[in-house]
Amino acid sequence: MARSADPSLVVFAWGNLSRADDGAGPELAERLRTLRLDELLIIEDMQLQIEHTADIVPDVPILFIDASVAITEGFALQRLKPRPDASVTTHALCPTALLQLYETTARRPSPPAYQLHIAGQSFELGEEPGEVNASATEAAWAYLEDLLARPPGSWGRVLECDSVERLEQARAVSATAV
Amino acid sequence: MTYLETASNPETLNRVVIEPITRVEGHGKVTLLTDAENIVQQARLHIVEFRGFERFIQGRPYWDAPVVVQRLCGICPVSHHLAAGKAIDHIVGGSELTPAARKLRELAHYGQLLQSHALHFFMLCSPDLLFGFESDVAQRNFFAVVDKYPDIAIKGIRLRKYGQEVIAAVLGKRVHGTGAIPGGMNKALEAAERDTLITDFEHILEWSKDAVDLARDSFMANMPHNDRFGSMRSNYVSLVREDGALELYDGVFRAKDPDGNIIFDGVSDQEYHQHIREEVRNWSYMKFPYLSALGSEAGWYRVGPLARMNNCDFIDTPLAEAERRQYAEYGKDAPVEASLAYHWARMIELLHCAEKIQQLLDDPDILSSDLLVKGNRTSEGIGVIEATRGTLIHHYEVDDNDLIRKANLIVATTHNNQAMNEAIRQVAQEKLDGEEINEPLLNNIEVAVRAYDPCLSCATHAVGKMPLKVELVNHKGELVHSLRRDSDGTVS
Repeated sequence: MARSADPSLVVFAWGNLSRADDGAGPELAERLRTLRLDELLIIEDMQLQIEHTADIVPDVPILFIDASVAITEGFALQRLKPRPDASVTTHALCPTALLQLYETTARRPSPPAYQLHIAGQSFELGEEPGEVNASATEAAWAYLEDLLARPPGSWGRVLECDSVERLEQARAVSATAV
Repeated sequence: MTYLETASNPETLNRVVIEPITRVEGHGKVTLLTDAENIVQQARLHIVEFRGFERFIQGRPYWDAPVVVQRLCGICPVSHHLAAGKAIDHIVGGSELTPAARKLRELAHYGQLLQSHALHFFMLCSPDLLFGFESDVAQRNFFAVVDKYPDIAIKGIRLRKYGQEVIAAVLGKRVHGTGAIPGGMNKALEAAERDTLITDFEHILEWSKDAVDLARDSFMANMPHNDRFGSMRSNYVSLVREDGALELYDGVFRAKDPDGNIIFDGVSDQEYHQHIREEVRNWSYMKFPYLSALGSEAGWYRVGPLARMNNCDFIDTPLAEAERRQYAEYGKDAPVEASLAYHWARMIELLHCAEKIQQLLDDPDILSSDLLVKGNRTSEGIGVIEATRGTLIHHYEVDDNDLIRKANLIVATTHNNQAMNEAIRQVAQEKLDGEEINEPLLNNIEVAVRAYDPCLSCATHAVGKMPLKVELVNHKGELVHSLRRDSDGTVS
């Protein structure tokens, strides 16, 4: 439970390694841990829950990592804004709802936040990740390695710039696939 | 069979279904049968999931049990992990753990109770207690509590988070970690992990004390209503320490009758099956346990925080003991019967767990790496702990090839099955008889169920925004009246 006292980036990665492509988040969290970067605070769980709001560090950028059916291949990086949740369970809080909860409880603006979507297609219990997801996970890992090789103070700026470009690329990929 | 369990003429009655019950763990429903004058003739709590864990764990190696059974639940996996671990300890002849192993398991257990009690009280029940049982449905959820009572909400969030931190430090992960292995633990607590927990403990005692104040004050605020609501005379079963203290990890069985007289005491947990039987009824997947000495009609009982508080003679931590004394004074030293007093008892336990965590973090044994014992192999193991919701029993038989031949799990919600049914019958009569049924009235039924913090299985717990449909159908199958609450809280 060693914890960074002064992180430059907070990573939330979630999913279930036993459910095929759903394990992309935990898989990347495990790889990030092997980098042993003091400036990285990594939070891994099965799902985002209410108490994760207490893991958010004021003014420190956040990167959410999860498998996603919103894109058909590769990965996408999306800038997030706080938004009230209309979902039905505490087990499945979405990142934007977590940011909204943070703003309400901390009484301050949420830090800049981004979501790394990893393309996923199958979420069946006991299955291995599919080829599309495995490829997407590798691509996302290459991106993260590149990001984290830069000075920690620049991570937030890079994510801000990339979030527009990467999402547009992903949209183009999805459109092509359709 | 008890009053209002089965109507004599169900085909002539109107049927009301509350499905799903919101803000509880897992999936369940309540069915009510009412006559032409809207008088309730039958009320039942149904558990609509079938888990089958006892069956599919058969044939697996015994050392798998503490890991596999955690998948029963995403809320109380630590409880199942430790109960199975205790049972398997007996199979390897290692039930007398080293001090370090025992204390690490206790630390994880207190962390589990702290986080789960906080989750239940603040996130699932506080909307009822702060806004009222029949308040606007749109605000009967935790997000409304965050908006209107942010200070209370933050304490709940941070208490739960701290409990999960404790679990993660001992078992490696907040959910579905591992730690208990046959005869001990597989990982020592590092000094850095202990120090982080000590640092983060700041305010935990204070917030726990505030939680007791909130629970007690909200219970006392509406008398005599809260004392009568879902109240019943029952027997009580729990573990206690041999000297009568509240004991949550290991102890002996004590049972009291509705007047507080001892039915049995000092019974070894290895002999549970000589005192507890289970009855099957054709309308529920959940069994109905009872004390064999009293029979199924009179022998049903309650477990969990209320039973533990009614059964113990004292608590061995000072702040929680001071609160228990107030509780005992309220009950005039007889068992407190009110279902809503579960919340009060639950928060006293939360305070006790915080005190215990503080004690253990100051104990040098907690950093020892002397974590394993071995003994003579046996073919049967029984593990009993006081889990969040009540007494949890794991019982395994193992063959010569180390494979589990038979498993019996009795979870707290099963022990409380009859009591929850009694509670909804009492509330249904009190609140619904002769009334036109509407959503706020029906929430009273859910409040009664929630008081017991049932873990109807494990997967999902709603926060009050789950779409809810209530239909009133007459005996011809014709829809007489319906209400729908959408995910945004709109009632139509």
